[in-house]
Amino acid sequence: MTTVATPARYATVRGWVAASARSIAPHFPIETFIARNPVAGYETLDHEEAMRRIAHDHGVLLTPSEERFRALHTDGRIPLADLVAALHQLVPEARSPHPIVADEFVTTATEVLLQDLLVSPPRAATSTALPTPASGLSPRVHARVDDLTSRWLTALFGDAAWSTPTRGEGMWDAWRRLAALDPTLPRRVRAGIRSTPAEPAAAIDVALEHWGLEGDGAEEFIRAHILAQPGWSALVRHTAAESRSLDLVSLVAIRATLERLLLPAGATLPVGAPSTGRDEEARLSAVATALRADLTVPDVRAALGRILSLTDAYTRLSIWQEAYERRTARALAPASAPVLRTLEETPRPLAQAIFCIDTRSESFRRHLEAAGPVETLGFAGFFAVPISFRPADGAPGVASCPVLLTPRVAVSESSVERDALGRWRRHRTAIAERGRAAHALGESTLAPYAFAETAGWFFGAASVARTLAPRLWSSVRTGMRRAKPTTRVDADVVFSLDERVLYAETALRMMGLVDGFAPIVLVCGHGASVTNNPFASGLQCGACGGHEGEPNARAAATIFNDPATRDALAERGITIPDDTLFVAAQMDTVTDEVTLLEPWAIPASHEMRVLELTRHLETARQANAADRLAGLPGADRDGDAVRETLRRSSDWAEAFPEWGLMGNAAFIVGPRAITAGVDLGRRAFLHSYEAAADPDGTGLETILTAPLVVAQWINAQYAASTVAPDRFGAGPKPLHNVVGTTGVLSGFGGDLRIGLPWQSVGVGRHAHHEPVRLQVFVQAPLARINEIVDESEVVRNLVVNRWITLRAREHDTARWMRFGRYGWETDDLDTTPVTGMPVGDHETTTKENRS
Amino acid sequence: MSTSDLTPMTKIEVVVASDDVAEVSALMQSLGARGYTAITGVAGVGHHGHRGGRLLFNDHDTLTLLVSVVAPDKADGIISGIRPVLDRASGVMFVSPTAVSRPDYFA
Repeated sequence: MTTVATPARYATVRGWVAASARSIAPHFPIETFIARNPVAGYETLDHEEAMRRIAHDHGVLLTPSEERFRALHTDGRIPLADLVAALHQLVPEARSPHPIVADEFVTTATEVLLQDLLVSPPRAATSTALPTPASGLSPRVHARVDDLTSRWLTALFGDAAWSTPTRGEGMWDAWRRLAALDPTLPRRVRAGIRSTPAEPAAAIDVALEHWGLEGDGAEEFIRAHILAQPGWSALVRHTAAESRSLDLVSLVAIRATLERLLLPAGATLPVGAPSTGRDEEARLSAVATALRADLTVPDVRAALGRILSLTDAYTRLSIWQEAYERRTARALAPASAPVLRTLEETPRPLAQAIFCIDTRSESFRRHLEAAGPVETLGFAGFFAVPISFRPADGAPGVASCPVLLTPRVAVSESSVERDALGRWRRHRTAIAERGRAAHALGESTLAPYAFAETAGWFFGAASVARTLAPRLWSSVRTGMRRAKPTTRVDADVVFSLDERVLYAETALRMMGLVDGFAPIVLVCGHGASVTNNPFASGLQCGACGGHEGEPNARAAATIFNDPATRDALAERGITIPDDTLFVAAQMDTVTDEVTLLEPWAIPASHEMRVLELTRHLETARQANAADRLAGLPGADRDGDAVRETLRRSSDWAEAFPEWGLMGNAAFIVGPRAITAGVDLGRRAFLHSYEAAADPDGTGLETILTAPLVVAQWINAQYAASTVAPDRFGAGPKPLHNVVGTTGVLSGFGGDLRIGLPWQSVGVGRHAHHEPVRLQVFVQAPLARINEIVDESEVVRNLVVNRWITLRAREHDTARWMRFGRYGWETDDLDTTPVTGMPVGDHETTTKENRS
Repeated sequence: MSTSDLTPMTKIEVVVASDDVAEVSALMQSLGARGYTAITGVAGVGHHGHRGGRLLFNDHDTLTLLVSVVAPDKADGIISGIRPVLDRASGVMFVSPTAVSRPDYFA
């Protein structure tokens, strides 16, 4: 086969690369680590079909294995009733109550498919990713291509002080120039590199021509190379959006060229083994044996075959996953309130505290409400102010908003205490410079020896102190720091009045806080104090782009306290009383400490109330720290909980400073009253919402198209890192080898690790996180939700393609409805027996059918 | 100036998810487009039903209209490159003849 090499042909090759790139989501550098579904590109497909494609492309399952599900069924984690309910949910034909009679054999579709779930040969848990020619012809060459590519990319993205390989050239140009000089490559390969085309798409085309690939085969070849090392590809994909000198076309060209030149000249593509149909025969036989059916009777064989054709191995996994999630949904679904109840007038609370929807806020809110007369609300932690933030210390500005958004304005922090600010800034700069110098010395080739001779005594002693007494070390360091002068942020200046009013009204209506304001409204962002953790940004606020929520809390409080904004809000029907003060704060999710961010801005009129609130915050801290420690590995549960959290925060050897969002499973949109007082175990994102405060539904649309999307990204990443840790997880922390600011390797080389470290989802060999899809509960008019699902493709894809499960109800007295294949349907999470399903265990059922 | 004084060009309009804009625009430029215009938050009704416009807190999942004008001899390359992307993602492409007064801006 010969294709004509033209610009249009190269364009097609580039198009194939761009299309294939969707197989792996971009990887954000660890400095701004953002949780994201690594296979988000498959979300346009139904979840089951996506599982099939992902198994084909990536060689992994997107769910636990069938063996694991069966073990969970045996242990009682997946009750039979849930399994049958899931079967009926996904295979409507199984709902038929009519018996199937074949000769003397009597059964039902439910029974046959249930036995299929329980006894059929399971789908292999893992196989290999989409094969490249080399992986079939010579695994050694395939490994060599991986190794050479990995070394090249490590040099490109790392920050070695002694090497700058690209000199500003494009990736492909630099590789052609330098790889042709690589003495570790055979002379024939180097000569081949020298004669490669200057255009990387042309180099890919040479490889396609060499292997005789065209059309779908060509695209699959390119996808195989992209997915051979998905971590590096994901990073290049992210970087390519910002730098035109790095792109996936060059990466595929490098891999395809190395592979073509390293393999023997006459190598041809291996032929895949044809399917023998043995799997289906084994399946039929297993089910027949379980049902004690005689397969030698043609009618029986035909009947069983016909029923089994309704599903395949991936449908079974899909049913198991659905069954697995039902108990989680049952546990987290807000209960129905009684229709008849006494309505009592509640006194004005001391404070209302707005926390991020982050699952970690759930338990703190619960303990704070128990500690004193404080109402709590949930809202995305950027508090509706999409900003970039320029801190007072002169550090570069950061985008402090969800990655879904582009910052609208730059908010700056400044101080009128110019001298104090100058001294503090110089002090901060000096600390940063010292750190950079020490790092550069450590990375250079010879300087570390001299550095160790001269400064080793100090750093050695410091290391011993940090290891043996981390809290003391941290206290000493903190004590040596110069105090920060009082500062303010200029959000009330950089946002126009119209913008301030828009964002303030949006936030208040979205969370249903339009009246009944308390004297204090705490706007509480969150951050995490950790030491020696490359994934620290993964513990910060996701709604703030992987940064602390402090700037947004301060900006939002400034806007809410702005008199002009309040006047305009009053004209729009939201009257904030004159005695209501918005106070910015930040919660440390490792130590549970809540810090008021601008104590100097609190007027004397509110001092006593704030003092009382801080006492309640301290009580909540003690309770929440004890609550969280009960589930953390290696915790001293009998000691002082707060002291233990402080140690975890400052200990550079601590692999579990906190659990992050481990366990996340639900997203609940509704008034706090429907979840108040219920221990949800930090498993739910809680977004406050009152349909009555959002008459046109735009607030709900914003919730479902933004916070819900981010929550699903987080949920999908935790699940993927749990079920496929080798493919979509970052591996164990002790093996991490940091590459610049971009990511980690496991040990010396290999692929860049994407996803979460194992210590974010599991302990030892056991996963702690339950890989369930996000269970979404929305209390709002169903018609309003329908409109949003219809109009928003992102929400429609997630719901209709079953990447999330959406349940809704109009009022707290109603039962939850589920958005199913045919629209809204009743979803009895308590799972009562349905006609056509077996009663009791399947052994009993089998006997009944035989009699 | 009459239309006969203008230089014939080819206009390529692509509607894609905003998340795909960086990739598609890079592709267009790598294939010879000198520039493009991006109109964010477009709305309409099509094969997949109604598609909403701008979202308040999500720039990522809205639709963007990319418009590029190129010399006719470059159009085939760009069309060939974009088609595989549209095969895997939602989006539409319109190609039409147009004319410009400053051809050096586009060639």
